[in-house]
Amino acid sequence: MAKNVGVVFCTCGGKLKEKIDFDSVKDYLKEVEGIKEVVITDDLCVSPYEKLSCLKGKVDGIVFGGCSERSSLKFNEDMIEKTLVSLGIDPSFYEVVNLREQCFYIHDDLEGIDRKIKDSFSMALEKLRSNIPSYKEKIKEKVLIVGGGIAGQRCAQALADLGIESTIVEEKPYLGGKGLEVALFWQSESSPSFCTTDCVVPVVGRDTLLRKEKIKVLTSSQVVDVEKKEGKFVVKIERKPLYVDPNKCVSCGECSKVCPVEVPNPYNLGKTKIKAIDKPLPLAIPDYYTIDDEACTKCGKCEEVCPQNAINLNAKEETITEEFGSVVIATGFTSYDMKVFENLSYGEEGVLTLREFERYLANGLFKESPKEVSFVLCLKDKVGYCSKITCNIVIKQAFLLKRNNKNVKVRIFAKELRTTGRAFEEFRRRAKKLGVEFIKEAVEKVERKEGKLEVATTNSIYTSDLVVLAEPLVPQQVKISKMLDLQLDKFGFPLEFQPRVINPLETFVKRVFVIGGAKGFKDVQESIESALGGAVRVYKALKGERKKYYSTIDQDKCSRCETCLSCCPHGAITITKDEKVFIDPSLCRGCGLCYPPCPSKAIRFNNLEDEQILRMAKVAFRNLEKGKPRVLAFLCYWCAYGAADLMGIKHKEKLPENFRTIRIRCSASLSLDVIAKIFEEDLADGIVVAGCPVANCHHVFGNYMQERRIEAFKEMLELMGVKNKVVRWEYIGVPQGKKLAKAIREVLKALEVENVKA
Amino acid sequence: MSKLKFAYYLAGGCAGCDTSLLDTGEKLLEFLDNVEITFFAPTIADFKYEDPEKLPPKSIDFGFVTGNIRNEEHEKIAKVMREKCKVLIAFGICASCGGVKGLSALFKDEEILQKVYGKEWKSLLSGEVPKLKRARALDDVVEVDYYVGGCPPSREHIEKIFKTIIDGSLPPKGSWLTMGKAVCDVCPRNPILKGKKKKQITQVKRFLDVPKEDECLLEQGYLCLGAVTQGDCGARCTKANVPCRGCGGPIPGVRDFGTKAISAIATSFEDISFLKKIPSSVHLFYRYSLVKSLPMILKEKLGERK
Repeated sequence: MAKNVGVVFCTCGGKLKEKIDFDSVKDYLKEVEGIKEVVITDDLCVSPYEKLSCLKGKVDGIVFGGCSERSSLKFNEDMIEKTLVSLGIDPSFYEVVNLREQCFYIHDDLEGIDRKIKDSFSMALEKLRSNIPSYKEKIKEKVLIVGGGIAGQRCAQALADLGIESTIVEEKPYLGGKGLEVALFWQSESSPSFCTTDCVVPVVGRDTLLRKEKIKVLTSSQVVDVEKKEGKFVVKIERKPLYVDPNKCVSCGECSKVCPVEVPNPYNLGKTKIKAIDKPLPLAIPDYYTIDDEACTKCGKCEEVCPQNAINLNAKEETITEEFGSVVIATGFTSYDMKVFENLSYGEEGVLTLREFERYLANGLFKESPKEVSFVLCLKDKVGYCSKITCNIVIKQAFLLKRNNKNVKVRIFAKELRTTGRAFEEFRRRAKKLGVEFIKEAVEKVERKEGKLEVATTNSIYTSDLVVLAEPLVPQQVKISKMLDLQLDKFGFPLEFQPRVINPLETFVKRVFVIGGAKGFKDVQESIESALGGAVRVYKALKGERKKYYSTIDQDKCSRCETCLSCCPHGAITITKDEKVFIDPSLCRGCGLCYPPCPSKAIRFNNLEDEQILRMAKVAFRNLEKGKPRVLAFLCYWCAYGAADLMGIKHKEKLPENFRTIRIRCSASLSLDVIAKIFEEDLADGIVVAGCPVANCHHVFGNYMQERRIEAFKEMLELMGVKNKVVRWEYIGVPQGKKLAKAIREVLKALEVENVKA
Repeated sequence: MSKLKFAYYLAGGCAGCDTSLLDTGEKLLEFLDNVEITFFAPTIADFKYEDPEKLPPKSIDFGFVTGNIRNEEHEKIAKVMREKCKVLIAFGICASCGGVKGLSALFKDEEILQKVYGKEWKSLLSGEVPKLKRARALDDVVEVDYYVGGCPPSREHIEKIFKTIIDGSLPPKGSWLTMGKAVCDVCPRNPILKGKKKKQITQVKRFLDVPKEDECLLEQGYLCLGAVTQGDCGARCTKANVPCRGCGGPIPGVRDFGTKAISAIATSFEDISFLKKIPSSVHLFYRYSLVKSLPMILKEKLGERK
């Protein structure tokens, strides 16, 4: 608790003095107990450390009065916290009186301003004095990377280079992911040319293994359980039996030679054969032979011939439990189940998906090379989204087919082809020049008739020996996302944490990131861009955060009703093995959504408790003239409070002085209990609660939640005929200062009318 | 050791609490070995209202009042009880929060009387009938030391209260006599028992059909108030496939049961349109606690009555 409080005013270059009598406020503060120092400066933002060095060791908490901690371009809350740390003060122990944005710019009545400022100081003091120290996250400095594709590996490499250990968990026996399926990658946006998988994939794989001190690779492994525990992700990984020791095997292939069992090679869609002990592809990394557990008869021949003594047929499945501080999801995407579209005859010979076609072409799996090839696009209207890279893959393939063999007839059926950017437009031009036909008609049916495939469009019928269906791509991380309790969009992709435009790789769960194709369709280069970006974000996240606002739960009070669980958008609340509800402060984003609905009052929302808000409300109108309606506006941390800051500066709004604002974490962190108590004790007459606009809540659904509660509560007040107490909900985005001003004004007006009636 | 002196008064109630008290059977006999009944009216034992009035102040060790305060007679005897009892316990949700009969506050007395007794109600009710007053909880009339929820309190709950009294292990004054946790904590349907997370409410169902036996009622769309209600009943209703209606009263620390119920239920809704699907919100959320609810208090402050 802050016992010795310092008060720091800044006059904003003297400007605020035009309307604010700082001496009067200073005199007022003299009466307040516990205020050790009052500093008045004209330009705190210019040299904060210098200006405040006089407070060092004297105070353990500061109330700032000046510009907005939310919107100030020079001295916002991040700067404040940094300054406090330099003074040796816990960053929880400050509060701000918003003199500039929410007083100077929106009010003109000097007496009203004076009263408002005095009250606002009392509010800030009440809050400050009931704050508790901040929470320092405890983070394990180790990263789990789910998926050993190119993105996952590049991320692990970057982390290793930053000194961070990681474990890659890959389902397949080898690294490389989707990249291995494609023979030729397109290069970059600047260059319509190709890189070969045979070159690139081993380069990336070797780079991973080179960093073995920092990167642990678990192939043939799967994450089967994630438990969140005190800031850690306790992850259970199942690894298939390791019959061949990768550290001993030198890939001489003697084992494979003597193996009597042949199996279809899954890498080539089962179209080629390998032995039960084999390498599915020669360039597979890690470079060792693996055994197909189901097919192997355990005859022991391979064990006998292995010159390295690397084979142990008695190896057992292993369950590995490891603790991580951060998780990177790099599971990529997969193909839509094309059997759903019966009219397209998928499964019929000669009808392939685009991904299958890549494998066929790369391995020469065609019995005879096709002379007429049809590419069929697009199913975005059926599945609801565009897979983004599919048109580009089609144009690449069509171009390559035609370039390699001028006699092949290549048709692309698409009502519109989205060849994006520079390189793909170039591919399209070249394909056209080479004679690829573009048929802008929707395909209604694909069927085999008298030995030939027929593609029927709205206008015509075309024959073909090969039909390639450009399948929609689908996310592949749903299983791991469910384990981590991520927020997903309606198609199954993880939602990015708000503001998502600047946090493209953050999920709603702290320290869980999504990179590569798992977060949306990307080509290899784009995937790696996100992988490298992700590594930096992980690095930062592992440092741990110091937070002022966070929830904790009291097990003695908790009734396990799970109301909080269903409203935590950040996966910070979990069910423990002994059937208890646990809130992990290290995963908590401090939104406070769990707090108001808790029926058992078992949750504490540290540094923004109901009692703290009530303490503030009790002093909020102490200096206001009697008879004037009193309105308290509870504004959400980012949007609504930001809008309030711009009411005057940007929108030139002027408002009466008899309202006060309280910045809350999310509109939904405010309890109805507090509203009820404020009315019951007659601490205010009107309450405005404002949260982010529809579809923009930083905590997914906090705004909707609070609107529902307030509307239900309002209905009760109305039913009872209560008119002299008003509560109002508003959706307010940062640019909607005018809308907020209107709401406050209307509530004040309505209360004035009621006052007159009474 | 001398026996504890005990008094019991049924005010504006239905005698359900009295019945539940009798339901404790053998435990009641054990209890009666330890206490001496100095007053019990108007049910069960033969006492007159004048009897306690004759006793000196604070001469009774503890008294139970059940039912709410709805007329002059209730108020008068409640005050006598307060004067004579060292410890006064509001026994059952009516005495504690006004109870279901507190919903009468939604109407004018004339409307209710006419509905019940017909147009001639005035002549029918002339004479010795105590004058009606608006429904109140016991603590609106006298100071209350302890509160007990339930409509009525369950047998097991009452047995525990007996034990607490006999052992002299009562908590600080002003407390609810409760195990302190919600119905969900003792409900066999709680998804946590299967390690599962409670689903959002995606539909609102009225309790007109038969719910699935082993699933959380709220998840099914029945607006069960188990999460906000004291669970001393042992989740009796939900075990009988009936949604909890909140008779147990608020979890300690919660000031206004109905407001908390709104918080919990509206939070769990998938969509705001569901609010309109509740047939009568006031009856759902404030069924047993309207007279202690904030909207009611504000209404009273306004001095308006519909």
